Amino acid sequence: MGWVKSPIHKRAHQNKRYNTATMLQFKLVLLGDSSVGKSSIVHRFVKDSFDEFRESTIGAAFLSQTIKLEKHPDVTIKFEIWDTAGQERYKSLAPMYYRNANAALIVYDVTQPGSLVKAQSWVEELKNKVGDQDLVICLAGNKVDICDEDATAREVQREDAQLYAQEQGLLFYETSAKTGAGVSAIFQEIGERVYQKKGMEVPSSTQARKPLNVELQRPSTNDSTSCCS
Amino acid sequence: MVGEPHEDYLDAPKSRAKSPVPARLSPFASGVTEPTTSVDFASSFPAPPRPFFEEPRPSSSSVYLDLASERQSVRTTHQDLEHELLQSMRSLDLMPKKHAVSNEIPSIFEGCAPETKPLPLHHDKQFFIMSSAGKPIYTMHGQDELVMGLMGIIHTVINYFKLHDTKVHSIVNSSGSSVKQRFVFLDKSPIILMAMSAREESTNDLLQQLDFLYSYLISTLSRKQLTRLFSKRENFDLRRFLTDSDFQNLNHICDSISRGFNPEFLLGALRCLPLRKSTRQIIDNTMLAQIQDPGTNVGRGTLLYGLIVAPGGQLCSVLRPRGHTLHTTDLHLLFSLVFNQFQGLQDDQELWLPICFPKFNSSGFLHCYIRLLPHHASKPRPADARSTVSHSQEPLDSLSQIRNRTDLSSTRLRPALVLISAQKESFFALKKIGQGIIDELDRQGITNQISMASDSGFTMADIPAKFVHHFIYKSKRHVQYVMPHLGPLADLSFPIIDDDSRSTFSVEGNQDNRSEENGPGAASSNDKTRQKLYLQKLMSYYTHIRNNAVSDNGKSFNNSTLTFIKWSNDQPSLEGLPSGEPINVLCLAWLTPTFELLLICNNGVSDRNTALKSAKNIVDWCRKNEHRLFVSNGAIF
Repeated sequence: MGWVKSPIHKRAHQNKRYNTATMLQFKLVLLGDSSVGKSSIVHRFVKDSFDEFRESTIGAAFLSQTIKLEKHPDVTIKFEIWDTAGQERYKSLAPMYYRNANAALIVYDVTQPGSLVKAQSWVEELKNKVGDQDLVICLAGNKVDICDEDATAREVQREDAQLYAQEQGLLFYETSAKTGAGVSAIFQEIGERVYQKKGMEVPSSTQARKPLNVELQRPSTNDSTSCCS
Repeated sequence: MVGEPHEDYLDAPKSRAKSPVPARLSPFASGVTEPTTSVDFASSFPAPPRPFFEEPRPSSSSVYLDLASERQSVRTTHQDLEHELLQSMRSLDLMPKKHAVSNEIPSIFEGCAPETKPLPLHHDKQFFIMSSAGKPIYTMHGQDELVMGLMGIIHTVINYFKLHDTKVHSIVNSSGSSVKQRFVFLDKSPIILMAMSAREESTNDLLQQLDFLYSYLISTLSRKQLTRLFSKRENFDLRRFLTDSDFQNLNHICDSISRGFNPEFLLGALRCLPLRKSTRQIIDNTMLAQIQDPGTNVGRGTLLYGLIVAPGGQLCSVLRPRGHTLHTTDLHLLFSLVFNQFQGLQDDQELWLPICFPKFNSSGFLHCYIRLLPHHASKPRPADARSTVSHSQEPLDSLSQIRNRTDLSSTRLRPALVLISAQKESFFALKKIGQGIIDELDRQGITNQISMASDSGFTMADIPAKFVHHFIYKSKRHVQYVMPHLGPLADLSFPIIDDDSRSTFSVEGNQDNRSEENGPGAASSNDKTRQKLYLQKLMSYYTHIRNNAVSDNGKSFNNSTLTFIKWSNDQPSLEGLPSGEPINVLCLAWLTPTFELLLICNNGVSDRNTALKSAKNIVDWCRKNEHRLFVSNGAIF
């Protein structure tokens, strides 16, 4: 666990001092089957820490993290992250989290083939409900550290998942929240893509927040009295 | 004449000061071989008459069905009449009944002798949850294969009850006058729950516990969904629908009921965090100002309730609409979720949690915005930790002594803000309100005060009550209780802790999964174990004290009741007991329409006059400090 603090965090702190840089605020939602490591990835990204015995998420957790784009040092991106529960029971709440998202990180577990199937169904749902020109979707195969220790544990081949991602036009990464491998790269890449897509349209954070609230007032298409389908 | 001593205390505690109360009661039998109660009416009431509905009880050791329990008969046709009859019979029966209850207490001494390591199903406490079709859902101890057979029996028993169309069911396995095991069934079709206890808990205690387990299931599924799942297929396997976190939560609830110190279940009340009146006022005003601020632009109905709760489920403040309150069970469920599930909650992480409040509306979900209050490490840390404590804002001045806690590690549980809405889309609206509340509280230094108050509270030293080890005071109007802070050091001073294995309330039988206890654990883990054992013991005491003053269905015998219990051990020291420290514990339960006081005296105190005087002082003190000790109305909008 000799994980060294990633350069992202240092930049995040510096940014507060140099407020002249462009600050963009984007919404990111994590989706995927339960216990594939969504919360662990977020915590590696936000806190740079890993907890072996994390309780499963109930409902959803909201966090934010600021990064500076490596390719555009003057651009700072604040991710507002919805870390959702993977359990089927909370599925009907998901639209509320991804409706206004700029990016979706769909996670599967490389040791659980079923979790990739689930991830693919999330991709379908997003493409149907959101429209992929608005949304940056990234597919992440988590828990590669298990495969590094024991190659036989791998159930989903990197090539297969990558091929699927290419076909669907998704970003693809393999990650380990435990070792930190690939985690900061994923958010860098997502930030980059979202910036390319949206950066020009949304010039400042103050303006980015406004449409967000307006959207919230929009009546829900779902039954508001129940969280479960 | 029997009821007289009790009536006297009703709302006129001062007038009792000069009357020689204990002299009226029979001198209590000291020096008896077995621990006994202080009120010994055995000579004056040779055979305690029982109310009619209890008559079928056989006196010999046998299993019988308590079909004619009070509640059920109360529900029959001539409800009111029968109820009144029961009440009057109960009043007449007061002393003998109390005697009967008192006499049952020694049986725990028999039952609790430490035996060999318990088999998977040999526990003194067990909870089962199953479907009405007989499919297991949850069991506290034992694997599914082991309990499968038992589930079949439970199913049969439940069906028997159903045939007889009863509401409350219990079976008591008794030996002579003592209850060896009590089985209580709760039929919440499509779900059946059963509790077994060999701890002399009353039917009502067990029903409350079962109701809480059931309420948990409802909180996560909602009654609507539960019914729907089973309406499709009667033999639906709910285990597949529940998640790991559900089973963890059920385990946690069972554990806290059977091994923790949670008077909530016993008293049906919430614990309140003592705070200065002005501090609470600031919190209330801050919350009100935030939701009434036109800038927040929150539609009416977005926010239903707001709560600030400190670790251990200690209520600090409530924001609520006029005329609406939340049920104790709902809040208790919420608090246990917040502090069990989200211990690892990060500072700036915010949760959006759908939860069904079973007593509020069992068919719909509310959405809770949950966030921990920020924690500020004690500023620039001076070399001397002592000065850190002294220069921080005094939270409770005379009410408490801030203990010298040097290691307030950041991993400690922190108070939480909970905002509740019926709209699942209102996260960002609540987030804004929450941020406003937290910023304002932080600016005024209140968040730190709450943190510190939850770490210290008041102690016995703050109250002029002699020889009292510990007490619980419940204000019935507030449905809240307070008790002196259980600091880690104070806990070890109670003598009974010194003979864990021999103690009457030993819970050795339940420690099968605590193997680390005898391992080469560090001193701190040893202290923790002792602390845990001490709290269990304290809880057992309180359960017994209270059940001595109420009937099996949880109702008070009379409007106002005062009872003493004494455990004593005047025998020559038992083998293996080092120098045999005498056990001589006097306890008091005082139940009135306005308050409940449960009190444990220091070991060796046997003067009931002194105990009563201390009890009165405690009641006076609690009344005088009512605004500090309890959340009265909260912030109403």
